[in-house]
Amino acid sequence: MTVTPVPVPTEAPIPAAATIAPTIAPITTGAVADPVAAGAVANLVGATAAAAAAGQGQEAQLTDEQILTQMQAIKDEEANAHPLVDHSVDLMELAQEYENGSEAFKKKIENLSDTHDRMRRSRGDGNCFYRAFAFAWFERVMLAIKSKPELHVNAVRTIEETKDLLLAAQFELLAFEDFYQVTLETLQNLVHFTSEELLTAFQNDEVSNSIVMHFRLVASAFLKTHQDDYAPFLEFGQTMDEFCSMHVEAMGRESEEMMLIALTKATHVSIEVAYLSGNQSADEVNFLPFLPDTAPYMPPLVLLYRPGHYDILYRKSHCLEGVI
Amino acid sequence: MSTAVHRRMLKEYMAIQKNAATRPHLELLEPIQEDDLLHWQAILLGTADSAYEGGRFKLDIVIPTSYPIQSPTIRFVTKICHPNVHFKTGEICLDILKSEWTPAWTLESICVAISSLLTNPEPSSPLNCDAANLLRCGDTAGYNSLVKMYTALYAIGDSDEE
Repeated sequence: MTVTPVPVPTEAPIPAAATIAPTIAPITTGAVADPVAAGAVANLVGATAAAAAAGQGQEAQLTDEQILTQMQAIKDEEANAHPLVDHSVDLMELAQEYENGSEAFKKKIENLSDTHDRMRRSRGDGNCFYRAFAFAWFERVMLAIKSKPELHVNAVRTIEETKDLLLAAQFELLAFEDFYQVTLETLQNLVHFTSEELLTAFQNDEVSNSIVMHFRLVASAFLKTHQDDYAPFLEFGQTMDEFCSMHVEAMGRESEEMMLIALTKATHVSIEVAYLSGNQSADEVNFLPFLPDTAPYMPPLVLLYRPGHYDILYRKSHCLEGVI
Repeated sequence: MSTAVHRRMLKEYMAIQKNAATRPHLELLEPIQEDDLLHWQAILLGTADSAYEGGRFKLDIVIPTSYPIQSPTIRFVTKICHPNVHFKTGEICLDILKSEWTPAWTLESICVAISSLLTNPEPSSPLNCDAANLLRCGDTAGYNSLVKMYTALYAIGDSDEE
């Protein structure tokens, strides 16, 4: 079997590492904008080099599956160093990461800190968008449980409705009901949860991954039931079912804009994504809104995007009391 | 994770028993021992009018504790001649069991997919090159008689042993 390019479902912000090709050059010479990723890059380069060397010498001995397993092991090792969802930190801590980094990043973070004062990291395991989205939403609902109980009522109803969406998209009840139940129960528990308990729930593998899985299936179901709108954006020849099973439903696969749009529309929760890139031409962080079709009933969740990775941002104008 | 996987397997077990009549090519799908829900076996029946007709093909299914986020490991126990099955190890080359696994599958739907692989081989990614080459050069008659011979040898009659 030949060593064919294998997609690396990692979230380390290195687009060049997306394929295992004998060409390591793009990874090593490509500008690594994010110093946090440096470790991950070093590991990936090592693995890629090994895979490439094996590819030249003893091609027949390294199967696609072995490469996948190897890449997964590296990814897991990187990821396990961080909790699935972390305590929130002051935005200044993010600025420190870039102390010796590019001026563009520093300037942008400084500007971002005028309107935002905290961030919360989501583990870079390929699921960071879904986990960040779910946590930010559930936390918002929990913090407003007394002042705006209707947020909770809306959220519970929305999640209950996802069951019909999944059935409409031909998912088997048996296949999704465990994930659905865990998600719904966690949401219902917000009535008596403390901030610590919510964080603990999202740091628990079983609970956290079930919620991620449920949101993945919801995004997939939305795309499958709205094929006419989204199929034109797929690569030529790819069906929506293929796209969804490869890129949406499988754990650890990174999300693209299409998944953000799908999840926003399926849950009626709006998102704003702050794009923090090394682009030198602007000092301001770009905000990209993702809006549901109906009028949003609460301010948008704010996510911070750095190439390949999503975290949660806290806007000063939003209620932050109780954020830990 | 382990309690969740057991809960899930129990549900699958009950659903499979309920659906038994709706899947003619799956003679059996159950845990090998009642007290181990992570090790299953299945018996696929060769479709009528195919070269596998009359054959009973046993599968060995190992469920990881992270199932269904990770795929089960499935291999043929009964020797089978098929372009996408390793003749010696029984390993199956099927994208949905590997890179394209998604948690939306169940054991039952996976077994049905393997069953349909029997009559829809994919000779471009072979684990059995001899079988694949016959198909690739268009020798359907040769391919069918080879499959029939191995089916008769290993999968018909008292052939439950490995």
